[in-house]
Amino acid sequence: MNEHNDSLLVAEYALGLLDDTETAVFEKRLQQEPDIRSDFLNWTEHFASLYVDVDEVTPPSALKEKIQRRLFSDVNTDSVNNEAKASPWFWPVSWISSILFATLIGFIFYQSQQIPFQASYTASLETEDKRLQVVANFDKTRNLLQVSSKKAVPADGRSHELWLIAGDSPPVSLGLLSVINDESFMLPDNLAAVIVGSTLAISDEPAGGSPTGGPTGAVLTTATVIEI
Amino acid sequence: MTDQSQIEALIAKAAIADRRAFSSLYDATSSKLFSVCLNVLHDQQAAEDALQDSYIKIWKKADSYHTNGMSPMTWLITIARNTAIDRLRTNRNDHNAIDEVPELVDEANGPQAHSEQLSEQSRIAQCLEELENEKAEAVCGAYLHGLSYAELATRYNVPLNTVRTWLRRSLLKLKGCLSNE
Repeated sequence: MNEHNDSLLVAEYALGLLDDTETAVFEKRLQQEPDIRSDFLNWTEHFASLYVDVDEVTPPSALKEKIQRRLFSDVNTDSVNNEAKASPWFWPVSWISSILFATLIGFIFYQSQQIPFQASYTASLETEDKRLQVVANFDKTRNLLQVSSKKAVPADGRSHELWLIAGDSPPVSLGLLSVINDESFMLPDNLAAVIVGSTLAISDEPAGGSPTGGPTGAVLTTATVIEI
Repeated sequence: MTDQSQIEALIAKAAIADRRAFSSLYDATSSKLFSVCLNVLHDQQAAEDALQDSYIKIWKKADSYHTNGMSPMTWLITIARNTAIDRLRTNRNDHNAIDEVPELVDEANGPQAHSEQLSEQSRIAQCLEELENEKAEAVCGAYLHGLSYAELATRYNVPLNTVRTWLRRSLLKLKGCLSNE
């Protein structure tokens, strides 16, 4: 095999044109030969850039939730259900629990419609020059945190990230201000349990947020979450 | 669309199980990836299924991203394209599944090295213009629509070996053009 042939093989692989046998042989070489690997990366970058000119199509909005449900609450979908369905008890029990579940959901929905957001705790974060002013209100009965911010425009290529620091624990990211602006979101139980008395902090991070999971840039402002 | 460094940061956060970052990553990239799936599958439902599977893989494999040497969009596009092609070929009973992004470790070429490649994004489009129309179309058909040699042979009404020969010749020309500074 000469160099030309190898590079062609790489391109054919990147296009998905090799047959099963050729693919298996090629993938072994891909792992072992650095030249092939770098050639593969080059071809792949070039081919993928063909998509720059292809129109984007927004997927149906329900799809995102389906993906999140598959990833984050897969306990009662795939594995459990498949076994359960074999049991003669499954259908009646499932039917009854569906009714109970629907009632419960209806109830929660009703409650959430009826009870307005009631903040009992708050933290006010601002920088000395007042360029950044953020108010975070927390409704303990519903684990809801509402964040609103004024004049929160980070520098080009930077983002403002909000953190929760409970006691001596490392900061936990609550999200980017641009994303959570004026939005209320539900805190997981473990965070809701410790937020009162904890510190909220805003740090200056690379665009898109800290790449490490912890704050990497300057801490712009902090405040303690206190009772209103 | 969000720029590449932002997407890279979101992937890095998804790698440490940051669901919010994953949600932003989906918002920033799903239209592109859905278009990738549609181009391969030409069927709304199949493309939706492939898109779901793609993001499941992206979440699960996010921690291997930083070592594979691809730029972030290329990595995401490759996952979506291969997922869609696998689905296409499984449906056709043609088991020519290609590896989802092969697990490469590329020390020399970390994600940071890609800023230069971004500036040459449309270079392959320019180089394709130097090929005869039919040949350029065949290369795009293979990449964008996941066509196999057999399908290309049918489409251009030539024997399989012939189509392979002229596609390889086109790729060689393409390579020459792409490596010209």
